[in-house]
Amino acid sequence: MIERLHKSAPARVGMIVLLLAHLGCATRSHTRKLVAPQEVLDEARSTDYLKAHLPTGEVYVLSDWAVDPGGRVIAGSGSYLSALRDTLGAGEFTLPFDTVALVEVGRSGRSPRTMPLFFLTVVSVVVAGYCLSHTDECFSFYIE
Amino acid sequence: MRTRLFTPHLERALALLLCLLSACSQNPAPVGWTPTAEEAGRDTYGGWVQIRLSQPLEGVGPAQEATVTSSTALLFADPDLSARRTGELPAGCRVAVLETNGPFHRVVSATGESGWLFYVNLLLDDPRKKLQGELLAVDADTLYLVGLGGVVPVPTAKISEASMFRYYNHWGRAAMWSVIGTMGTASHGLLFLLSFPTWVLVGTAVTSGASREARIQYPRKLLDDFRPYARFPQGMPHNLSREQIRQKIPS
Repeated sequence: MIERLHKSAPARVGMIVLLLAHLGCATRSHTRKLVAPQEVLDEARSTDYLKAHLPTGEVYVLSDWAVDPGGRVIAGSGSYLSALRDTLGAGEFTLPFDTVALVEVGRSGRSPRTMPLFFLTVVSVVVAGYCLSHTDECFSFYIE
Repeated sequence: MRTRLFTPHLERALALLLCLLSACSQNPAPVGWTPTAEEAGRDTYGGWVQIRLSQPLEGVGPAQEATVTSSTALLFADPDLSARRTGELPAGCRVAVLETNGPFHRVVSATGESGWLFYVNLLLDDPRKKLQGELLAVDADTLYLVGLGGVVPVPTAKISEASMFRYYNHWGRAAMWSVIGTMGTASHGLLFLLSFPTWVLVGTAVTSGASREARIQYPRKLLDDFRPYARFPQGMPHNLSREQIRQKIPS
């Protein structure tokens, strides 16, 4: 039965619908956290980026970085922007902890809020697949 | 290159359609201003904040904003209808009012166009009711935002409500998914009687929730929760001249 459903056209269409829904229709979320420079090692492991905010309003945006707690420095590559957000430089930077006011870390990803729609889509596709291959049972009211 | 399954216009149109059924949260920021969730990590500006005040601010001058109401709003070099024309602003354009001279207002738009506008072309916001702009910083007793006309320090004690729009999360996709799913119940035969209302209810609830996901609201949350989404989460830099700070120009 499952094999027959798997090979049928409605099942294939259903799988495409599920794939499109999952890849294209899920909403996205973004979360941020502020930490002190000395706490960044614990927080930064699973984040997409690191921003080092200076007391003067300037900011370093690093996409690839490493924290040396012994040397009390953050080293990485990215860009350096002024408080007015003009780009002042790009490349490799080494930032001593005591020059950084605050570190911002964050992550973007698929939002779990659309999961109910995904489950509902799975059920809908199964029902639609069954009905399209058993039209006499599902649409008997119409056929009669 | 990322494949775009649907255009933003289609997304927004369907989102608005579903919003007729649910209480969705519309982002008041100018079009193209708010970064997407994917871009938000690299964005170094603050989120868009909208504030309702419990008491009027004094000396708010530069915060006074307005909307151009006429489709041919001419800008003049001087507060005089016979003065040289310096440009034209489209209807719906947001401007800051820098000064007033009789029936004329000197305005500046987000793209930097400035000049004198005759008063009938403008609908002025009431600065006692609502302020909005990019969030710069949240200090112990002051929230700073930058509007079209410049930086506005707002004492937190005078804020009755505030909403922070952090990013655009493509919530229109949830609306689109719900509409397509609801239409798909036509293939469910008699079970349509069960699946159709389920899709309408779940789709509406999910879309409404997704539209609010990127928003933080005070007093439901603390103003301190806005801080990670400010341009200066470390606080307002003391050495920085506020006159120099300008709002991000929408992309």
